[in-house]
Amino acid sequence: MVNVEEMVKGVFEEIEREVPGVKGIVLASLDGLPIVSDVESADQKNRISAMVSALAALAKRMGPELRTGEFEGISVDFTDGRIFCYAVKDVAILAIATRKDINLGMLNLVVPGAINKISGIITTGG
Amino acid sequence: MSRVYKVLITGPVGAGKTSFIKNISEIPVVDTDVRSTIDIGKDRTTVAMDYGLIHLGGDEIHLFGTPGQDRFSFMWDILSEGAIGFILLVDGTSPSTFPLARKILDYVLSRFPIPYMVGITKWDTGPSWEPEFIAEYLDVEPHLVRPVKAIDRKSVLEFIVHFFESYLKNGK
Repeated sequence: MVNVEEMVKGVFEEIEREVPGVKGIVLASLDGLPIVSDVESADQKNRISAMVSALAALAKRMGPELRTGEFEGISVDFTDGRIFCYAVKDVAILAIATRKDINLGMLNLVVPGAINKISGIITTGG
Repeated sequence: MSRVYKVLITGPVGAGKTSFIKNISEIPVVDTDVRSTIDIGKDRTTVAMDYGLIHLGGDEIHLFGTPGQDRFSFMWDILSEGAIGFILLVDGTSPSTFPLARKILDYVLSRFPIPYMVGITKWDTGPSWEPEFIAEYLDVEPHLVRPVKAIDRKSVLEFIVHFFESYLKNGK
């Protein structure tokens, strides 16, 4: 029997297969705990989950402040890469670390479907 | 001339940091509370920061509250930057949180040697450690530790006015 973690990891693999340049993916709870991750270091996985939830929480608060609607996601650019954080319904945050030269069009094409799949898996157990 | 101060409100989870800021802020508080997925003794928890503002004697006091859970310790540095003082809140009825309070105090002071006070919260809700014992545990001067009701506006105001007048105003 396939468990939730394996099913979500399957979705991670789809993203990584279809969008070259993805370096790591973390699914974190809104209160900053790791749910599923392909980051190997437990310490790093925990810290990234906490940081991702903090980033998303602040970004969420900016929507009402700027009257720009509901939070969907944020991206942060670095000299050597990017991080994209997406809301997974009202239950989790999906964070994807990529190379700087990621194919944004492909990422934008693939991610919405992946979020729907992950949402279904974690809210209904698949 | 009015001056602008940044004050950090910190302490372990459940000490009353969000309540403290919400009860005195003159503006709608920017909070980042979310539902907790683990048992931390309450339903919701701060994951990034709280922000509020009050005026004291014409001066602006910007209040930045930290998350209380240890895994958000990276926010201590971020929010401490530029602060001219901090208030450490400690739940007097929860000695299991004292080690984290001590850790936060030592960490912030080692990076930012700025004036501070310790507020003992929830002392009126059950058996609570006396302020002098908590001062001893935290290794701070007893006069820096005093009780405060984080859910009571008057109590919080008295606490922060005392802190402001005694330790912040005029660069004391």
